[in-house]
Amino acid sequence: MDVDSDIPMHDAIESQQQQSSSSYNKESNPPENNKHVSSSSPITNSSPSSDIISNSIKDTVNTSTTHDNTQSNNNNTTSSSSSNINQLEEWIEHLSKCQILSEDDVSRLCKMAVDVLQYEQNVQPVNVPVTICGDVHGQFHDLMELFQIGGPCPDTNYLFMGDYVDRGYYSVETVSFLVCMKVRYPNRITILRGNHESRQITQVYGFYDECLRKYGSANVWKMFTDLFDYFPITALVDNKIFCLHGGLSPMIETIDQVRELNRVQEVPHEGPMCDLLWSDPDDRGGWGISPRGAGFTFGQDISEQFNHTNDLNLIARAHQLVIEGYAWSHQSVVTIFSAPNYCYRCGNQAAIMEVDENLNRQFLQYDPAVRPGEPTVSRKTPDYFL
Amino acid sequence: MEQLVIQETDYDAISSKIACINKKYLPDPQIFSVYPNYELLYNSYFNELPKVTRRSYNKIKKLMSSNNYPIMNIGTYLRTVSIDHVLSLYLLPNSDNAEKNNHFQIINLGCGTDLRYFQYNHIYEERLERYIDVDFPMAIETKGRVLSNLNKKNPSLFDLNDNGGSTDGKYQLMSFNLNRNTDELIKQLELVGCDFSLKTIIITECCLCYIEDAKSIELISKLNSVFNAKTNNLHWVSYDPIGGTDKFGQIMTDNLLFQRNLKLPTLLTYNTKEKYSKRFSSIINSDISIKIEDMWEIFQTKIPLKEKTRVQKCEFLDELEELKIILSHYVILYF
Ligand SMILES: [Mn+2]
Repeated sequence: MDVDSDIPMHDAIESQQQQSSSSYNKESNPPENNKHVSSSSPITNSSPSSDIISNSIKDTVNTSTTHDNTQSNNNNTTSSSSSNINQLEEWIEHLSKCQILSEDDVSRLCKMAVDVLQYEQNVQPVNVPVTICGDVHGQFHDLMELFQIGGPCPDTNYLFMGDYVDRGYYSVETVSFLVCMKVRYPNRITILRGNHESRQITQVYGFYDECLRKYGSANVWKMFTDLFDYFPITALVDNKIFCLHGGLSPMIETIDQVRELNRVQEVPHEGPMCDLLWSDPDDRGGWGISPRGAGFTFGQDISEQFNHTNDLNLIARAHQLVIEGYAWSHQSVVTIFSAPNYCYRCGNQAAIMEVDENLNRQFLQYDPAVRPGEPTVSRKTPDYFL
Repeated sequence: MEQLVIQETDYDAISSKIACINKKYLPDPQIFSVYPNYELLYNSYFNELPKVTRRSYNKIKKLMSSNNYPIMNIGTYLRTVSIDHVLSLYLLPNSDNAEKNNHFQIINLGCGTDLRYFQYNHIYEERLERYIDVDFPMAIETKGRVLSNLNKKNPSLFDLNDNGGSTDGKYQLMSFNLNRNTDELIKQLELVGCDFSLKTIIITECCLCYIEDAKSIELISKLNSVFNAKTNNLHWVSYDPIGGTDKFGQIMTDNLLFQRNLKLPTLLTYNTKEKYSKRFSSIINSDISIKIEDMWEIFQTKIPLKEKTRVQKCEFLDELEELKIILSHYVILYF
């Protein structure tokens, strides 16, 4: 692995087998960009021209028949023109400086994003290699750090498991950036829905207020929360790793049952879709009442049964703050949390999980990009009881 | 300047409390049943404040619009009810003792906008001999003016004189910078009618955490000896943040220092419950058992299930892991 030594990062090598860098990207990326953690701006314009958006913008590839992202369907939409690519790259460059888009641009972006996301599946198929990430919660500078640690997109494929907004000070920039990346590289990045991608929760936990503060009206909040309805709710990595924000549901025994849900709606207060975004693994066996007031807790017996029924190796989920950035529950459920020093005061590490083409896993942990007292973070103090 | 920075922490406290009242966390049913005016009291104080100091009012308003996450409301609720719970334990009438022993006084050091006097005078009117609120001169002046204005509007609720103290002298607003000599504090307390032979409860709610270590030791030890020497009847209730053994304390120290220039000199010194409690046990009589609990323990074990359910219904709390981290870094000590 090629990693700058001055980046505060501790590798927890889970698999014995290191991936070889030559085989890291089986797709057509330039090898010199392979897994390189660059010290300069890692995000913008690092895309190889070979990633032709027009071939893949409206990807309706069926999961069970193929895993080849490079396959094209050629049922293009209007958003796939090269002028759109230029526009997207301009937005991405702008956003990567942590500057918001205009309201009109957000409106255009969201329309383009609907065109991509509405054709994704409830159980979106994802190929290996991929780097799987947990909650980000508006901590924009830490998201940039994440791409430093994990490698720039699209050289590295990413799967984000929800909770982009609320709590942090830069929800608007964070979600705008990720949606832009999604539209620009639809087959390189997957963005699932978290329980915070909801009209109701964002009105309590900050995204609504932030939109009002930064745009002077709730229009942008409305555009994004309308878009959230289209986000896929789960992903299946190489048919073996089931990824979702929260956890299992007593009403879901098979992955096919997830495929049958109508996901394009506000996150309901109960039922299978709610559970997938809200549930947590627990030490107690069986199903339990969640202390969160939504979803359920599920024990090892439940996750083992689910993995057995669906021929899975692993359930990867986010949703819970874990001090080391990742934590195992049961034996085949892993929690990944990617917001270091959550809410600028919890002191936790963040982590992402790299999965290589042989399904070997490796966790990369990292610390906050910006420490207290450094100038880039908003001058608002985190909340304390004083 | 340093004084002002500390004094402004009261804006956080009062804004959190008002937010808690607006969201119906407070008053808890127990307080409400014995003191139905709680909400009226705090709201009328807050509504009167801009007529005395618009600057403070605006700052509090601003904090209220940003510090209003459910996690802060639950923490403020717990801080409030745990202190009230301990106070009521110590104020239960003691049938074994003579009448005189059932009378008591309360001294709230670094009181800020806390209005517990009205609550406790309503409940324990006969037995409450004296209630002394102590804070920086500017804080006391503001509080006195607001209370005296309110008194003109609603004499039956307040029954105060023009300085904000009560007409019978029972309630005293006392200006004192706690960083000064503690002997001087004791003299001043005597001047406002403090009776060192009376059963006394001292409250330090987010007060010791702003004081230098040596000074806080002096404060605890001199107050302990002046009261204990005469009565052996001193109680102390102290609420503070603790640094913990994780990164929380260092991050809190840095955040508050860099962004507000607020110093917490002992946060990392008394970073665990054991060490926080030692700062008292090394001074006071060893026969006295000192209790200390963190707010997470209070939430998990001390709040009755029915009340816990009520609190969790006030707002939708989305996660518990963060709540646990935050709450386990705030403690209540009492003896
Ligand atoms: Mn979540």
